[in-house]
Amino acid sequence: MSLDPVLSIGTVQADNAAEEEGNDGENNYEIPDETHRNLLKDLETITGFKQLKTKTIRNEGAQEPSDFNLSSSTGKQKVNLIKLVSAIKNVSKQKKARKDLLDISMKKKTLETPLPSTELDKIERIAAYEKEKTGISKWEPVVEENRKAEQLVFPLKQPDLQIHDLSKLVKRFKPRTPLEMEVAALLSSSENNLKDDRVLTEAEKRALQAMDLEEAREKRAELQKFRAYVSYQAAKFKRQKKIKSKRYHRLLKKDKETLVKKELESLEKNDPEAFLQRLEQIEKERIQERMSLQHRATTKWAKMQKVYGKFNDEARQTLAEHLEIKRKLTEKKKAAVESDSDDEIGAVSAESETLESLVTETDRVNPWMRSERSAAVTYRIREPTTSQVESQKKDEESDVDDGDEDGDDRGDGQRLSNVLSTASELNQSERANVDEAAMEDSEGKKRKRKAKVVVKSPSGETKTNQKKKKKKKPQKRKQDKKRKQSDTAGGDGDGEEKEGDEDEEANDRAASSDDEDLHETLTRKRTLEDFSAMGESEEVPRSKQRPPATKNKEMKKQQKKKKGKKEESDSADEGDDANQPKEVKPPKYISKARVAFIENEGEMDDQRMTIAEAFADDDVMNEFDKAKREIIDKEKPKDIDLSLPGWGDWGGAGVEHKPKARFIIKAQKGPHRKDRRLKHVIINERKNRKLEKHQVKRLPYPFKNAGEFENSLHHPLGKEWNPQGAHKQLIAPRVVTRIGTIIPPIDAETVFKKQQEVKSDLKRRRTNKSESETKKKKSS
Amino acid sequence: MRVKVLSRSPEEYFRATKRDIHRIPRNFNPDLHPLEAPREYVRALNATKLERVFAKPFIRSLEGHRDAVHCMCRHPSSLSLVLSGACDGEVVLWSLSGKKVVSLSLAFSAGDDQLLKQWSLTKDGVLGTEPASVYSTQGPVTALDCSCDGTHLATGGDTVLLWSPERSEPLRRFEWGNDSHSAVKFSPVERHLVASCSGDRGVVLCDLRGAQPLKKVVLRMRSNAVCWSPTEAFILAVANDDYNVYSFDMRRLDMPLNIHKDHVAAVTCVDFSPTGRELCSGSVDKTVRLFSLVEGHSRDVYHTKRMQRLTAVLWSADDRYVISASDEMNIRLWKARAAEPLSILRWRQREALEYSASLRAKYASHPEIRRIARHRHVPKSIYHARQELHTVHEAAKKREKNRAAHSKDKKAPLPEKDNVVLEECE
Repeated sequence: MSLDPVLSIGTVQADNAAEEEGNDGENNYEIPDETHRNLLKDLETITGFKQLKTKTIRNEGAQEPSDFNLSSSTGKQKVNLIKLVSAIKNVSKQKKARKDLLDISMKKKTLETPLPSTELDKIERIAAYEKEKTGISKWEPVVEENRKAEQLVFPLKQPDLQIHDLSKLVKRFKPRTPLEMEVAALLSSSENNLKDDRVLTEAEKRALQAMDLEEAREKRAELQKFRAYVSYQAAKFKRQKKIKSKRYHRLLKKDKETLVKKELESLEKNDPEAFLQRLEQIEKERIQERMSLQHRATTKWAKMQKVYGKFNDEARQTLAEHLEIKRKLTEKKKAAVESDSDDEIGAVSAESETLESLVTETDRVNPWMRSERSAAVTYRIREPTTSQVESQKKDEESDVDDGDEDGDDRGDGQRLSNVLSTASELNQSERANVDEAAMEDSEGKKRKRKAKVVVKSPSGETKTNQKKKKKKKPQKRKQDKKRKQSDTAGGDGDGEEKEGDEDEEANDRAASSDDEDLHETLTRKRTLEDFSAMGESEEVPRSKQRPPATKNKEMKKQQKKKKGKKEESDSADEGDDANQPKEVKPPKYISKARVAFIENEGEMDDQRMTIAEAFADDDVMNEFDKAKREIIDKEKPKDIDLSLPGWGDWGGAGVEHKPKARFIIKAQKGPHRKDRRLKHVIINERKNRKLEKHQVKRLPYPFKNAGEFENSLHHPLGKEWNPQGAHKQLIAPRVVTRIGTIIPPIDAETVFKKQQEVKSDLKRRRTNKSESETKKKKSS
Repeated sequence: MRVKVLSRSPEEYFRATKRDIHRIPRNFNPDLHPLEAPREYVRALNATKLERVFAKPFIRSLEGHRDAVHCMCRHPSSLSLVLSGACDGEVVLWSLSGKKVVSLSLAFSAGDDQLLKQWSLTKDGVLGTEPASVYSTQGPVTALDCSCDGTHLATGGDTVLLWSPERSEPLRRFEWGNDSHSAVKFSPVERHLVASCSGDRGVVLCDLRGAQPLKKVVLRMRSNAVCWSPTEAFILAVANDDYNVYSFDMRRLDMPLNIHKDHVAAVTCVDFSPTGRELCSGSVDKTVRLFSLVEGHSRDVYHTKRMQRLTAVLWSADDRYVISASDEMNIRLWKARAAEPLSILRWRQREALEYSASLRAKYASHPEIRRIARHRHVPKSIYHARQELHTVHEAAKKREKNRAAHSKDKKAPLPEKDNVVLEECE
């Protein structure tokens, strides 16, 4: 089998060339060798010629190895490794090499020829695309969810808000400031600190250890008992704190007061010094209370209560209580009163002494003065007549002149007269308080002096009030003036504003000069609507719905006529143009069904004949007549009966009620029906063409049927028909964005993080379970 | 005789405090409200009319470029900053609120000089005239996009190149065919995906992690721009020369999800709203149109007398504004919803607006309301072009139908969506 390599290569090349040619011509002649040989033999026998021997072509070996001549797919002389190796059979030296080569030839198969790079790229691309497709499909559920969401709030990644309980905070707490550090150090080093839900502290433990068993048990039990008590007490206080009953609180208050009183009494007996101190403190409180405005009727709250008090008993009561507090707090204690009066005697001439302090003395005597302010609140002040006021004045003056009083009182009287003289200057309405008090006291002469004194305090008040009012008045005037000015200026201001507005408008105009063109010309004939109408006509050919006979005519009509004309023709009298083909639109979803008849007179008879033949048994015509009559009756205007039962009639059993003619409004005859002479047609005259533009003609997209659509419109959205919460839900927008907030693209990490967390949680649980199970098994 | 007098307890109508709301006794029994539907209808009608009255979308025009504006991009972290590049090579940073030209330098710019320049921006918005770094490209760069996280750049030219700011050489080169790529866009969600529009009418998808592009779709005409939905990872929109915007699902590229019609000339630019529910597109027909992703026709159309062919549109990151750049050197700021008030609303106002919006939505299919809501004035040229297109479209449809009717197998003509994609290359 020794082959000349050059020769073999040459033949192979030739073969290849032949093959290539064959490929070029796109005809692959692959005839089996045997059949070819048979064919040649046959030819020989037929022709008698002997086959010419094919010459072997000797070629030069290729200088450089190339892709094309290294291998041959159909070479008989294919070099086989085994055969080659068998050639070195006898050489013992190469034994090992031979064995190796044989092994290789048995084991290794030749690699397939690589595909052309274009094909390879294609495969790579397809694989990559498929992979990407499956990879990106992970978004599918997210996208679906977002599309279906009732409301989406952008940015989608909202801050994670959680409620932290106190225990977590405590755990996280780290001391930072020096004080905190100190405290923390103390706490950590302390042995009396209870840690980690243990029953005993370190110190307690040690103490227990130091004791013998019995003692320790007792001690522990005692401790436990004590802790239980503490917790019970805490629970009790907590419960009591929540009690809302007013009565309960009132009683509680009373109890407290009695306790305080008792304490005072006990102090008086046992510890006079402490008692005095206590009294001093009370006195101080009294002074403070007198200075403060807290319990007066001047606070905002009290004023409001006053207003509510008109309608609300409770408010009135609370206000009264409130004022009572003031009274009580400002009341002088006995001992204190004595000392006060002594002081007063000592300082008669003191100008600084207030009138009020004098009044308080008399307060106790005069029962009316006790709840003077509350009375002022609860009762309306009657306006006194001028005569009453004058008489009152005289009385007072005479009283002052009498002079049967001690120096102290006289001084008071002088002061009083001064006050009164100023008071006389007051106008009537401002002196309402004075008069009221005076009137009440004018009954008995004995009380006159007291009345005087009584007068004083309100007059004092009125004085201050007066001053205030006087002060206020000019202010008011000023305000009024200002208001007037502002009113007058307001006109100007308005003018200015108007001017300003105009300016703004002008500015706007200037600013939006570009888009002004949009709005200037409002009388546009064409709109986007028209476009969309075009689009609609593309989508649903209306001609489909119409009967085929009218199609062409209809088309022409559409081309020729405009809307207005159409309407006219539609509304024209039916009787007049009965000859013309009549076209009524087919039934629509929402609008009531309408009957379509298209007839010519010539055709009519034929049709009638055919109908009569077709429905020989059914009495269609009569039925139609009946139906028509019913409709006519139904639509006829009817009499209106205004009679009311029981009016203008005798009542009782067996009395007949006849309709009275004077209560009945007779129906007027309307215009003739359009179809009165057309036996074969019912024309609906109730149809309102003006309403048509508001009626939906076609079922909108997501709805399957008319009922569904109507249901969607059924429920109102407004506040008038829904509670506030429902209304809010109904009008919630689908997409919510915030001004000035950048909406970043959806983030894969945050979206899929939650899912991963859930998964990992599940895993952990499973592993824990399995672990515990294995432990159990082991233990068992 | 006992006379019954109408009396009410003050508790019924008195407020406990001034801050309480007025108590209005109401009965929600529907029998007592027979006219609720008509009342709401009238309200809806009025709301629709008012919405049209207040619809003034144009806010301002930004002037300052000396040549046609070629491209725009928004600042990644600031709402008011927008960058624009003009045909004369000028890059401008705009402050939308202040309406001022801030500087003439910016982050990345690419041009016909075969250079890619990186500019750095201080907080003041200004930096020197020299770029921070320059990368040389093999050929002219026609498109540039930066990935959302700022780690990669993609450029379009003869090939799609992927760059990293740290390297002077491109990381990857994506080739498919010999035509140049006029637009490249990173997906904001799946950041390794890039879509580009090639000159041979194709839209090419590339995965930055692989050496080969993923897929190529050949449409009937050339695509000018492409953008990805920021909320739905597999949705992308393509602005096409055949007057339409197509939205595709990346996983099914044999036909578009939706065809957004209404432009009357080649669409040059498109952008998604940050909510991913709407699209805005600019066209050679000198209008900006706003589309809902799920609807075939535009929701609104913006145009002014002086605005010329649109070259770029942006939807602001807070979903309030649309920014458009056009051939006549100006950048315009529009409201994304024409009748929306710009100020912060008090809750009563907001509630009223929400109520009217939901009423409008509820009665949207009623013809009168629909008519008013859809009424827009468009320039004459656009109106006529639209009409003409309509007739052309109808004629083609009719022709198809006839052909189908007279053919042997009488197959119904294919729906329009099936004719959009010519070839899906692998």
